[in-house]
Amino acid sequence: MARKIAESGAFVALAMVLSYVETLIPINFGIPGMKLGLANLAVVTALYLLGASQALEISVVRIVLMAFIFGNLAAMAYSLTGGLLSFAAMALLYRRESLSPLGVSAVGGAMHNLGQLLAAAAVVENLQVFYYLPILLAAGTVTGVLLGIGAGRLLPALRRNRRESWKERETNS
Amino acid sequence: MKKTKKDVALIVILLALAGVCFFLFSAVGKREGAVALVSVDGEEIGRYVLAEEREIEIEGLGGENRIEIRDGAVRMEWADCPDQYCVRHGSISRSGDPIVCLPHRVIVTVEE
Repeated sequence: MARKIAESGAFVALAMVLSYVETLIPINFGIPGMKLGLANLAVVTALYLLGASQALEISVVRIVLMAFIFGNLAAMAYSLTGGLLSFAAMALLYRRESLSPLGVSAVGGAMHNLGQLLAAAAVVENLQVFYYLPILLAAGTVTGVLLGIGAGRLLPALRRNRRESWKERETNS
Repeated sequence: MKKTKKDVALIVILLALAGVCFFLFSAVGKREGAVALVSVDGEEIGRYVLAEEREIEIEGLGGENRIEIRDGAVRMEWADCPDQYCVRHGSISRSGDPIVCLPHRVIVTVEE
């Protein structure tokens, strides 16, 4: 239990730092909602490493905390819808043997943007925002692939590390 | 890192979906899409679809203006105001950058 909490905490911290780092990147794509979504790297990695329920906690806690610290309630509504839709899609897919983090993360990125658009459409009560759908879908896919590559690189190392620390603990106790 | 065929297929499907949406939207968007909004002294007096070519006479305050809609854009074709800034503004087809005829209090904006 303590281990689980520690790992969740580490991942939440990582996700928050990544979200924060992203705000420091002064690239404006000129399209609202278009961004790298670096925090998703932590979520995808957590999904594979720690399983769906723990990754869901991490994702939600990160979104709520980031909104309280840096954003507002409207921003939280957008990213929560995006985050949950993205998570649901990834959680459905990640167990499949035929898919690697690459494809799963790509779907996650696309779904995140779709979810944000749905939330935006609900908030402004205007379907015009779907004008951005094609570009946001494509952008989400591309950033998702990039993050998926990152997660794919990270995971073997993290898995090894985790196993070793387990062994260490067992021999110590 | 292992990368499977299904990953690639999935990514291609997502991008294709985006492409299909794009073409669908640009086809639909052009047809309905933008309207020219004309207001005099803050009051809206008309909306005209940009897809339909036409000329519209406008009664401004203390003068007249005529706008022309053509090729999906609207411009102030003629005005009897002294400064003629509105006429020289040229055509607009996107929101932002409204045409303003200050002497007659006529504003033409495009709503997408």
